[in-house]
Amino acid sequence: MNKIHSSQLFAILMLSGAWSILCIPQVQGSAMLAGILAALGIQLLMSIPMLLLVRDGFSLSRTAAQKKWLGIIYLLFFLLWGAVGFSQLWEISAEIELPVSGSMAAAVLMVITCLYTCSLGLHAMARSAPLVLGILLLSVLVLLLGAYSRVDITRLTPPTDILPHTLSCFCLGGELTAAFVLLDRTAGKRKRAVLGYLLCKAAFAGLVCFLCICAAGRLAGRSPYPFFTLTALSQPLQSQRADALYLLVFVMLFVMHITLHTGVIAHLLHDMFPRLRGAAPLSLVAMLLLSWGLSHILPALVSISGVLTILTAFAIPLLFYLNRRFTHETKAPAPPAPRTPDGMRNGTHQ
Amino acid sequence: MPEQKKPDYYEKALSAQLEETLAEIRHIAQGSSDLLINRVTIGGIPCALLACEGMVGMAFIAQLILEPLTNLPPMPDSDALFDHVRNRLLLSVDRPVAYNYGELFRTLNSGFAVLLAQGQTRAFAFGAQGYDRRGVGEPSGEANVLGARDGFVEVIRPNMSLLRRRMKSPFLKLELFNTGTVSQTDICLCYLHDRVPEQLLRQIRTRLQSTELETVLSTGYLQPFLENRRGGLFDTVSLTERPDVLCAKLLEGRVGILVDGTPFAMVVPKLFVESFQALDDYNYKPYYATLIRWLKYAAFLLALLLPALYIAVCTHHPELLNSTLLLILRESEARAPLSLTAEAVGVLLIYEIVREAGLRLPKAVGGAVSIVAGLIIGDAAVSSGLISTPILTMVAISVLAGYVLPDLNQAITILRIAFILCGGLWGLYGIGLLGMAVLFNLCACESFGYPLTAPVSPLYWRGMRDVAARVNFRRLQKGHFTVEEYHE
Amino acid sequence: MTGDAQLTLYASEFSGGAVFSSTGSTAADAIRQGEAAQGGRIFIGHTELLCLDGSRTLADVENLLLHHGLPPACKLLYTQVEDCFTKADTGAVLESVRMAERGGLLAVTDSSTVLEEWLGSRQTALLPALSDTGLKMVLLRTDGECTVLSPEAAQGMYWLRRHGNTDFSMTVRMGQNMEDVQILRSTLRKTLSDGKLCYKVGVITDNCPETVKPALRMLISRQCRTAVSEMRSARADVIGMETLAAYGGIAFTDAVEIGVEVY
Repeated sequence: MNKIHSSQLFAILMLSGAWSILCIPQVQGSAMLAGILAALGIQLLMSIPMLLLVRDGFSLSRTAAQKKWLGIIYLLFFLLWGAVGFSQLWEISAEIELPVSGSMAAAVLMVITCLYTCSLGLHAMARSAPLVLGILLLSVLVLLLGAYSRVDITRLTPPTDILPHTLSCFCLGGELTAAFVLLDRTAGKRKRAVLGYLLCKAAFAGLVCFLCICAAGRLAGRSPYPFFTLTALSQPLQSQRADALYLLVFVMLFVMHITLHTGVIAHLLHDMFPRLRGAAPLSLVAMLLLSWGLSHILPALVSISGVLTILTAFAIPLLFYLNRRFTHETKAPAPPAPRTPDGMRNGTHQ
Repeated sequence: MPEQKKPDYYEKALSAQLEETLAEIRHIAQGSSDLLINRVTIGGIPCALLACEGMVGMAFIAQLILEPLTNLPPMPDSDALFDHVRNRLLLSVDRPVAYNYGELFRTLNSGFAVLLAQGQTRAFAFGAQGYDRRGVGEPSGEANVLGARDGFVEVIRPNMSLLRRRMKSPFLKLELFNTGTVSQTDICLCYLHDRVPEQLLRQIRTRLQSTELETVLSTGYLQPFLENRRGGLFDTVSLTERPDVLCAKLLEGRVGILVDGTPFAMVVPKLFVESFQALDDYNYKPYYATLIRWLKYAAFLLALLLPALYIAVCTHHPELLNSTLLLILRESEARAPLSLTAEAVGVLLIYEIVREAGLRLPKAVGGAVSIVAGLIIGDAAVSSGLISTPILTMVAISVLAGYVLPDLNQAITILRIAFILCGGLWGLYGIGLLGMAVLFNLCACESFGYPLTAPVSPLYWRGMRDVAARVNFRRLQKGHFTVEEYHE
Repeated sequence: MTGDAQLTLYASEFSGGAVFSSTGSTAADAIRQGEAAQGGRIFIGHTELLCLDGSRTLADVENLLLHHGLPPACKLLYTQVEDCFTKADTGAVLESVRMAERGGLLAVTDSSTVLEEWLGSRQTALLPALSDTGLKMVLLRTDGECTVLSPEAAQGMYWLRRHGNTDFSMTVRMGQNMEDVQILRSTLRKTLSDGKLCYKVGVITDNCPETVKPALRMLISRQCRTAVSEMRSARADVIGMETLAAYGGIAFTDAVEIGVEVY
């Protein structure tokens, strides 16, 4: 199938990562800020084996088709990551009062939407990502305009005890594994896309934490999800509230987040089990059930997904890379993408 | 590629016996009253001149075809006669030859006069069209201020001439063929063969030849065959009534398709941003054209989202309204018996009924629609408290904004109602979800491998000079842009 | 909102109309009871003025802000005047507060700034207050103690908290004469210098005569010193002094340098 452009991959990863930033619980002090930056720095280093491996022509989906155990590990990771996302949605919906009757209803509506968006294929997601990224940038600009007058640098105290925050923020990095799956289907400057994503995510996370600490102040520390408190406090106009509009941004980012993970699962399943139908609906339902069943242990879920991130985004690529190096595997050129009869390139997985 | 299944008589060869041929023709036509068969002896050879009454110019036939033919000297046989007519007489500039009954009837029903002769298994046709047709006038839609006033008509040949007159390049190719097993409708593929991608042309030809339709009475019959994906909300084939617009698109390497019987030409591939472009944009100063362009973008969002956002904010997020507005709206809505969502949907449905009535009613009673709709429904409904003024205002602004983009009318109408329902039920959460679904739907659409959302996504900076702004012509026509750059 | 053990909420709409009241153990509870009594939703997303009578009620404001959509720009007013809770038209009170802030007589506060101070280590807050003698500024502590600031200290608080554009005039005594000076903008810089806390106030005037500037400088400086002194006496911190002091390893009670520049 036809490839997506590296700038589109960057946009997809950035949007999914932005969702994780919005869901950061309890920004208390600059230790959180330092922790996020440290965690992203570690992820930058972790991405090196993955990038080297893909440069040598490695394709995870083709390898997973041959080594099913590998594919199952990645499938479990993405299922768990999606379940974490739904659990976060339930927690947030209780805090910010979504105009939907019940958290389950909100989740079901989201599942229906993501079912549709997944059915349209990777290209639809790739093309819509830059547009949604533009909307995100606009909303950040509006947020900055509102928060600027409230910023008090003296609230930023030197960080202490960064390690726990580094570990907790590290667990918010599932996009790196998704990048590993999608890199072989990306054309253009792939390394730049991944590195750009990490740097921009660090910048975005830094900005959000900085504003939460310096603009929202102590209220951010008392709020379970400080980003939403920040939006409530950062009104660009005195007489006009605009915080509810960030709900639109919240929804868009979550749809991209879940569509990415479901799309990647569908892509892996399509290569591993070509006869399987309905991969996207099955995986969405599995995510929903998993999150419903395990929502009471959300912190543990997040920790497990953090460990799996190291495994899937670093350990496995490193092992494969070293294996290739030591067994002197030749660089295999990627086979041409299969085309449908009309020359049409359709990314739909049916 | 499988060709269309043709009727049985189509491939049957003409008989050398004139009587047999005429008998077969009468049998196929089942004694149709408009079929004129004139027996005449030309050069001593028994012949017959066939024509469809009302389709041919009688004076043209009498003076320019019959008179020269009847003045011919005696010929030794029909071969000599036909040879003389073919090579020594120029009775018409359009002279196809029919070898079977299918071609004979196609030419006959296209306004040709057909000459049969004893001993000949072929028929000569002479272009003698004289049927009534609408004159070239201003298009009913696509009005403009500074552009030309001529538009396509229902007959394909004048349409072809309108293109040829504007694009005098020899590279402009107009490829005629027919489709529809019963209607045998003429279709013309128009393209600049030095700019059009070969693969695009091949795909279009294949699609058109594989349509298994009995009749093609308008572009709507062929359009589904040219669109790639079912369930797409937005058209991937654009329509135009204007020859100047079609020429501009041909210059970009696109393909135009003229259909006999309809004054609309189809153009592929289509880009979504074209719905916001008008010919007048290229007649105005760049700064003004840019302003109008951005007004249209805003109008699209208003048309789609204004009523839904109003309902969502009033119902679920009243903190987004400032306090003065909140009080005004609260007072207005307090008296309304229905919910905001029901009001909005009701008003929109009534508007659609009024619009349809206005379209279908004879012009003489069209004015009554305005009176009934405006005064009785609008004024009385508000005065009686059935509908609140704010919701009526929002819907009216939304409808007005939709008029700016007639190309997107179908999608806007349906989506507006869907957004209203989502906004009423689930507030901004519902609007966000539906918005993402619509965005994905739009981004999934392709037109022969060309993404509908190009050049915005995927981003092509060169293309943005006519999207984000309308740069001046010196820059616009630099670089020989063709749409092939957007192909994925 | 008023009360200690049981909280009583009095509410009236923008357009005036009757005041209704409800009682509950917390503000949220009182709102719930009120909704049940009224038979309709009580929307606080556009609340412009919230009158409180003590520190206990202030604690409820955080819950209203974070979880019930109280606007951060909502003004908080401390008052013990009974009429203020039961009066229908609080618009006049709100306008008085706004005019006083615009005129530089009171420091600008709203629910978010008050809560920011309240959640600090000293748990004190600076609020406008309405008494029988008019509008003042008070420092409220968690133990319920309330210190009324003098008018000079209230004006000093205005300079010591961040602001932007202003448009009011100040009267400066020049010997026997009184000069009016138009203040266009004020700035504030908080720094640590030579082991001391420094608050540098910058004031941009509209063509203030050079002869008047020293007097204006002295006036503003005196107002700021009075504010700091009264604030320390009340064992309060509403100008971020403690955070800055901790940053530089200085004690809260150490000397503070006030610098004023007039442009």
